[in-house]
Amino acid sequence: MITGFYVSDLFTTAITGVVSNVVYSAEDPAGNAHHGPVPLVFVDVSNTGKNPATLTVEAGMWDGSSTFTLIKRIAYLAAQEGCTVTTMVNYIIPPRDPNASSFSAGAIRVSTVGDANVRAHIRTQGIIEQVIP
Amino acid sequence: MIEGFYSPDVRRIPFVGDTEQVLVTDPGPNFPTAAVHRGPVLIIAADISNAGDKNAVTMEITRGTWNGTDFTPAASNASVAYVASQEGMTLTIPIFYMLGGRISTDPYVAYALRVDLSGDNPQGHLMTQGMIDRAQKLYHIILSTSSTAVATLTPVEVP
Repeated sequence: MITGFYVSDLFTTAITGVVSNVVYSAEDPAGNAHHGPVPLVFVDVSNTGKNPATLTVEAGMWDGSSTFTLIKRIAYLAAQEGCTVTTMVNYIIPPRDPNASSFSAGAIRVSTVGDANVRAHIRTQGIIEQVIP
Repeated sequence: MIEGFYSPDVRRIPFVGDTEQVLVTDPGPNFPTAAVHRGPVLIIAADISNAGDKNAVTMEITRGTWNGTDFTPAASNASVAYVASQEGMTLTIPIFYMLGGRISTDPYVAYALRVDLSGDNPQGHLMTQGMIDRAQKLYHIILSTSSTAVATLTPVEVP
């Protein structure tokens, strides 16, 4: 049997302007957003302001509070003025680790550089939640 | 069995000039053939070209609802895509957004996408994949445009 996914699970998260260390996860400690694992498929960034404009996406684990433990960088995009760039990101955001002594869930950390005109999108197969502003 | 899609289900919707349009799968009670619920339609990609001489041409796609007269953006996370193109450049991005059908009949409200192109001489396309046995048509309603060749607020069936 081949198990796929429903196309209605495809979800876009929009980012506007400069953000720093925003963490998105499929789960939170209260179990309010249990959707993991969530495949991350595409990211893009647009620069309609001044150079530089960049988007950094990193994979790691989140402790449910303010700590993000970096595993690896999975995307870095730089867009020229008046330009959009996109890339495929084949990364699965893991769900909660059931064997961890305290809450620990897979997450991605997103940061942008530029001015207020930076626009970015994260496209996943499933819903992720912004957990740390 | 693995189910694919039929090639006629894949369509390219053209956009020319500085224009603002609303896309719906169900154009509402004022349109003669709006009797059936159509949708969802999968929006898979968009491209935009800047054939003008100025930076920057942009295409913004926003999700929301359409009541037959007005488009209302979604309360949060409304941006589905934003594409900017430099002079003499075409850019394509994947989208993968499922555009639903009618939400309610009385009053009429339907899921919708607003496509807003701006800049000097922008031209773009939206690529869709109709779902088998469910949605076969998509309508775009022109809210404003730099071209005078089209009527406003007239649903146009995408062939």
